Amino acid sequence: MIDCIDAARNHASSFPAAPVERQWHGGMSRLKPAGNSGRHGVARLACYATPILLAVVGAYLYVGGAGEKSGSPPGSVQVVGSESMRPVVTACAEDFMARNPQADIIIKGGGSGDGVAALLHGLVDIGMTSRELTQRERDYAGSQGFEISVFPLALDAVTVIVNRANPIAALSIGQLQDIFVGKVHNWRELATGREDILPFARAAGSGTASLFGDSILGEQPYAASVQRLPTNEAIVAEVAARPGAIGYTGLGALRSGGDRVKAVALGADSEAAPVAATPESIVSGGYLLSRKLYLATAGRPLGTARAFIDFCLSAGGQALFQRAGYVPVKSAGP
Amino acid sequence: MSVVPSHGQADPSRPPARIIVGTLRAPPFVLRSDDGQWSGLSIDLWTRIAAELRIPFEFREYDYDLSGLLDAVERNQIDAAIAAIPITVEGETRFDFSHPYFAAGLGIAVRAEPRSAILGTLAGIFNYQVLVVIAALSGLLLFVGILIWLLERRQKGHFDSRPSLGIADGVWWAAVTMTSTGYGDKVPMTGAGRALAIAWMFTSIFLVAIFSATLASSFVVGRLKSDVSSPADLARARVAGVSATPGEQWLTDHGFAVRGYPFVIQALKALQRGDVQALVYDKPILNHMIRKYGWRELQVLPHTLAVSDYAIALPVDSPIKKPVNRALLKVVHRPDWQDVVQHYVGGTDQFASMEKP
Repeated sequence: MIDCIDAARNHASSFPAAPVERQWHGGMSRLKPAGNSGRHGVARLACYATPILLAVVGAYLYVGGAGEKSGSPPGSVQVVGSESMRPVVTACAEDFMARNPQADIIIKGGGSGDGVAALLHGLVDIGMTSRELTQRERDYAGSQGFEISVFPLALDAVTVIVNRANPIAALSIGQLQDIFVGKVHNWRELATGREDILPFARAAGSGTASLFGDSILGEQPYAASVQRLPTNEAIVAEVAARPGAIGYTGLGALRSGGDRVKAVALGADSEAAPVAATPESIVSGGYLLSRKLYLATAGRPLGTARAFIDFCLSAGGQALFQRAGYVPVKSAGP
Repeated sequence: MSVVPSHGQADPSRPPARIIVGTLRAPPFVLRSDDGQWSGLSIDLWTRIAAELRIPFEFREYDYDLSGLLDAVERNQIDAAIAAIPITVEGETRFDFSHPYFAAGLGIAVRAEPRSAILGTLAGIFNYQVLVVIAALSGLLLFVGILIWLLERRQKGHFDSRPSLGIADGVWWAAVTMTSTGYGDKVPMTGAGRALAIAWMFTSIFLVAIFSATLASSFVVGRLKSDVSSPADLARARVAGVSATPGEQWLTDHGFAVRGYPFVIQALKALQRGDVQALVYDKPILNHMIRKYGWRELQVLPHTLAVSDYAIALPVDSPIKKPVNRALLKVVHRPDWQDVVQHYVGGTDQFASMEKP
């Protein structure tokens, strides 16, 4: 501002002199780079240009700001993935935001597969996965120039459940396989009742489904009679409502069935003693379908994402996992 | 689990040894500090009831797990549950309620940018469109300024022959001409310069018109509010509710499409982001959170959609129901109870405390 005023004043006072200068230099004015009124000219141009520049810069900043807005809002952390983990991580997010009211954690489900895929493509800040990453996924991350960091939060068990009216207490892996590939169709064939077997499974992309598939079914496909449902809660609700039903779920959804569903102990084969999913058998690995629940980030997490993961691993976060039915990773040792 | 008294055979005059009271954070009714100290209106009430009855008790925490808390009451795993539990028909079929102790209005939270009159108007005017128009006009001024200088620089007198001064003269002339100010201190002398001048004069008429129109529309848009400002606006807005709460129930009952969020902060964040335009939830809790967290872009409308009564949930046939009810009435009718309500909830939200809707 001062420059402008000075330039204008100097210009005004030097005005009578200007024609003289012009006479002196005539047509050679372009060759006179550092002349007195030349400097004033630059100042004058600068004065005129200032509002123009301001407007252009303002418009640029505004466009820049609008561009940011169209993506995720500033300060928000997108968390996507495992349906098994969604309810408990949602509770963690609520607790975290109650302590950090500026933070905005957005939790969405979709399945572990969705979570990892979204993470690999840079669409989310944190992926939730209830299964290990595959080598292909790690390789893909490597080809994109980052490594995936994983943070185990809790131990879980894929639990096989039946309706409480079903007298069965234990199943072997072989029997379970027969049920889900469609070799047996009635509980009579397993000597525990006379209802038709109604098997329920999770839809593709679920980490729960992939663990069950890998450990129980091997290479074999699900029978056509198996109904695929999108969430553990849906499976628990179906099994609670139908006497002949059987399904599987993570521990977190088990409570929603109350006493209308019961967990079945699993035996490696018909001779082995069946093992129920208890904190001890899950930690020791004695239970066949135990697994870890992870948060995953592309590279090292930063800022709010880091703080949120730290919270999930803190005593407060781990208590929420424990109450949801999981085994906290902190109590499980390294 | 742990100490559960032998229900059914308890003698009211000799209350059970140590009862378990389930609770979960619901500020300002239940608060918990990081060192595990409970406080809040509901906690204060229970502490006074327990003191009145001389029952030793301990709190069991069910944070973010309302259904777990209510299941525990239903299954008699805890002796009482106190938080911000509304009396509902569904609840009454599963467990018993004490007398109500607080009447909470159902309110609407909306997002409304608080704007001071002058600054707000200015901020509203300088939106993207206006800035783009100003930038385009400025660029055009510079362009015409350079053009006129190129055409006129060899003429004596009006436009300086040196580029820096001359272009400045040109921009000055272009601005004076565009706004039809016409000082006449700089005048094009060549034929080409005058042709440019005529073209610029008439172009300017359109440019100024566009500029004025953009400015005028930004005035109007800046003042318009897309937010919900009364219950009538809910019908054509994206409305959020918190799952399994009276607010969500009210919205469903009245035929509104509800976006359910699992918890209240997550619903408030959705409101902040603009994912939803309104949130229907218990007014005292909304007010408390917005005030406590300083979310000044959120506000609670003055309207009350409905009233829900908070009560203590007790297992069916609980032996402590009668004594708890008696003590509750005693506590809330003491003169100092209003101070407690005032302390936690504040005067404005004290909606007809202990008064039936």
